[in-house]
Amino acid sequence: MKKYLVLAVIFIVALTLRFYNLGGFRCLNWDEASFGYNAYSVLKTGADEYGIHLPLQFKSVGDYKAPLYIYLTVPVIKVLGLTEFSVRFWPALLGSLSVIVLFFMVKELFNDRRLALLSSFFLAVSPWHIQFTKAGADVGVAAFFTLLGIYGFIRGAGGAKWGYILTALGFSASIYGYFAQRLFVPLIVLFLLFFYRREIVKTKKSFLTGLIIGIILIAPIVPSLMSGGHEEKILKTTIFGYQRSAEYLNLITGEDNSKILYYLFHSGIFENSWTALNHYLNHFSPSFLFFEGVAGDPRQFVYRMGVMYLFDLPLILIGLYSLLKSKKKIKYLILGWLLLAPIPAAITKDQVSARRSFDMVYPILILSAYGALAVWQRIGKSLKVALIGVLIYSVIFYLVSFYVFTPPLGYKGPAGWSCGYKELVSFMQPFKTGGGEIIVDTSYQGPYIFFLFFERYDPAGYQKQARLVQENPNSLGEGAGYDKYSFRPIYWPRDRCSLDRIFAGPPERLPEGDLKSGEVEILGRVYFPDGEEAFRVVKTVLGPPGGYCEKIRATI
Amino acid sequence: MITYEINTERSLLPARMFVNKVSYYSLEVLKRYFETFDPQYLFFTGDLDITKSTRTSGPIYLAMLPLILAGVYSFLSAGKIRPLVLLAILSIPPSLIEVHYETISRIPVFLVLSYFAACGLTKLVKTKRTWAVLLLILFLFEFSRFVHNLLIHYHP
Repeated sequence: MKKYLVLAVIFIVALTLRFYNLGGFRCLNWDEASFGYNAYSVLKTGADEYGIHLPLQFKSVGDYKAPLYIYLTVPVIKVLGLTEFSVRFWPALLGSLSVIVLFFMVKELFNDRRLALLSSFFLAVSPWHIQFTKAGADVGVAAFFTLLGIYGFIRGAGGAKWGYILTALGFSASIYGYFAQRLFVPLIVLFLLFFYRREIVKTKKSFLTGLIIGIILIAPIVPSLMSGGHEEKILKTTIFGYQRSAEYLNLITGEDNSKILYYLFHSGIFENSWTALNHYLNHFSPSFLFFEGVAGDPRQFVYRMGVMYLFDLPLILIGLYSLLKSKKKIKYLILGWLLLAPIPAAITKDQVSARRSFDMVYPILILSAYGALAVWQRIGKSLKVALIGVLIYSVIFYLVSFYVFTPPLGYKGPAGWSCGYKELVSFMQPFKTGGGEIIVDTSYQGPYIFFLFFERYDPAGYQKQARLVQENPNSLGEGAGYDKYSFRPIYWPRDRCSLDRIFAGPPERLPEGDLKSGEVEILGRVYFPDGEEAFRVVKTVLGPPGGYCEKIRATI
Repeated sequence: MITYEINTERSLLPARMFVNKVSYYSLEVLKRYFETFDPQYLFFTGDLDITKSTRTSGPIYLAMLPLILAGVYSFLSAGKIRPLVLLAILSIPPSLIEVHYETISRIPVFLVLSYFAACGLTKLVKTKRTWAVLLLILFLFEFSRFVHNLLIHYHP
């Protein structure tokens, strides 16, 4: 046991970083609320929010979600209840366990215990890994199983009889876990088949066993891969669904006199492929990796940091060079893995995505650890102290940035952490018993799922009322409402004249200057954690006769 | 603006030891230093200023990327680090310019990168001729695309 003491300490570090204030480190975002409520719905009724019995893809807020994470969360909710902690439990636990799997994998690949420990430690404190294993992200769950699948394959090729079975379990779970893995897993499997082709011949019996188990496990999901929902998800997120604007096409065709030149330089297939190539290379840019991360997405970035530490930059370069120079065949496995990992992200519409390229985190940290070890062996004692100092400084800076600087930048909006809803739901409870309709504005997207989640609304009751409203096929849509709730955009010039209704919305939807006493009663305000007003709650009352509202009411 | 940001961040007690003008400006300089090696800038869009870029191509062609990598690797393998040191030094001046992704100050860097690409191509022609031919075809395609966009679609 003594030889695993350091690994145990690293695991505890990983566990602490991921589980510390797990339920409250950020507000619950609408993806997490969807995962949580659908798991709750399965627990109570055996069906999703639309009443579909044990589905293999969950539709929520108009978006499709992979099933594994939701089903895993069911027993957690049974034990701990429907809370933020329950929803975030599995990513945090499996993220911490990834550290152990990576240790055994690197030890097996390089036969170097120090490198394995260092890789595990780098993973334990990795900003990229923590970002998606602390919050309730399905990618954090799926990536653990992908790692397990790759480890199993390596062990299987090395002669361990259970190796390929582990691969089958890991890769199948991963395919059930996250949409991007449905592209990455086949790619990495093909690559592993090629890389270990000689070893597979020697271990063909156990390989076939693993293959059969894998096929059996994946078979149930195959029909849903061909379904309309899956196609819709692909069209909404990838460049295959991207339509160039008519204005752009008119401009280009108007300027190009030759059709040949148009097809050569501006055809849709060429421009989309070129964009995909651009997106692919963006995942290797210093800006993404070390300086800004995914700057425009509050759920993916940490203020003044990339997805990796700045000290990783020289270590990765040194690691890459040292590995390329070495005669180890294993270098091709690490590089192949690294080069394949951003492909799912490259074909999506986003310029860069830390979430969809998450599988990069393992090989890139192995490279960093390899570089660190190469440096460590060549420097004196004082430089070693300096190196440790830089590492400690970087980790502390990251934690300060993560807990202090970053949260205020992401309170608001559909792309952020959806703060304010928990407080709004709690505030609205007394008003549910009397009065008329309650209208909640949808500017911040998905209010219905937050109301369902925080009210712990009976799923059987909601399934009867569930209705999705989509403005157009490209939008995610909104739950229309349940009981007295209606979820829709507030249009105050008209809505202010409706009678005995309660409206909850952001200040820009309910402007202070238009909340006239005698016409509306301000019931209260809900604030973001930084004190900025998030929601106003007002009730319309019958105003004095004559004037603006009388005319409007005549038209309603 | 920067002073305002620094002061705002320093108002949060735990951040005081990490946020100061030295750390702030160092990070800004480093950011600009590595912008030189940003693939999107180098191969796809170039300068943010429309008068200095067609925004449909970068300052160098994508076909040169594997050649540059091959060139760099051959220098490193041979233990010749002077060209790499030169590249590192020439990337310093643009890192001191306020504007992000500024191109004029990076022209010397592109010359060194082109040199690496030429060395990479020389090596590739000797060892993997098919790859060299394919990359040259891609290079010609990119060149014609750039000229086409410059002459037909570029309206600065």
